[in-house]
Amino acid sequence: MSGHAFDRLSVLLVDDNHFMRGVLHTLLQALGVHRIYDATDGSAALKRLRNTPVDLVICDCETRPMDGLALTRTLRADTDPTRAMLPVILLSGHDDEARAAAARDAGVNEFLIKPLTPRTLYLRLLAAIETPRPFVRTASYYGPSRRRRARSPADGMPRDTTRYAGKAPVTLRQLSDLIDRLVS
Amino acid sequence: MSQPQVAGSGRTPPTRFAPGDGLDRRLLARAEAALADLTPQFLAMVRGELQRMQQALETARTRPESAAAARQAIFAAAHDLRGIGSTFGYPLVSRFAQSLCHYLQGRTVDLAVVQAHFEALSAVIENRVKGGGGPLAHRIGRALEALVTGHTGG
Repeated sequence: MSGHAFDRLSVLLVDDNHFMRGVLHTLLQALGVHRIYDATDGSAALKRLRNTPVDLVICDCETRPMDGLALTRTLRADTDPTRAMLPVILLSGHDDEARAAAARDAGVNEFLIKPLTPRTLYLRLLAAIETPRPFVRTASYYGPSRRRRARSPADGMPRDTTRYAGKAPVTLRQLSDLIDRLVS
Repeated sequence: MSQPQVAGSGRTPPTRFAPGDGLDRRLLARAEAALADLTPQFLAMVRGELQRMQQALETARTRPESAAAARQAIFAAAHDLRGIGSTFGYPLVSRFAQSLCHYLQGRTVDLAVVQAHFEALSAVIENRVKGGGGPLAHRIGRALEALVTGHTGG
């Protein structure tokens, strides 16, 4: 049992899929979040944030016209420090390394690869809120440290990548394909 | 290469929340129950997307001038299904929809291949095939993916 205080958390959901927004809304409410706002894309989210400050943004990667990466980059460049440091959880249907790297370089705090489940959402909320990465600034980047935390709630998540010493990470999908090729 | 500097001398994003010590099982169970309660809406949403897909397929067959828009509509429906199927315990919906998305991103489109994906998705939903669906479903998935690979070259 823990002392989470999600009831004091305000969240902006950004997704152009009405049904997915409803699912996220339901899950967040069940986890105790009561102040939930909606936007259909990055531009609508930025407009909403001007009048409604929130504690966290959960954004789909592929919203149109402004996607989740562009929204995150715009937030990180904001002159208002609260908006610039606003935690962002990015939802993505793709598990490839390139997208994960793009999300990291845009300044995303947490990357949630679909399928969305109550557990993965809960873990990402905890990671973003309770063990936030320190913000760093370089010549070309401002955002959460891109180095993995020493320990976070999300560390208990099942991994979808397998890393062998000295080799690039192999996704389970690549592994399955490799096995198929070997069998045939 | 410049070394990362911790902005504002080690600032972390402002938070008003006290640290917890892990997952609250009661909260998690509540969220899982809330998700399960949405299953009828999920099935209705999938049927709606499949209906849109079927209409777009019909448009692509009968009105070549609207084929590009129809293809886009099919992709949009498949894209939405891909993202949500597994959340409700229907990974085959996500798998077949993913295969269809991949196919539609190729240069040429054979409507028979699209139709095969549509039939597979409909069969999963109408027969309530949850989970992996066993060897037959796996074979169907492999066959669809082989069709796509054959057309797109990978």
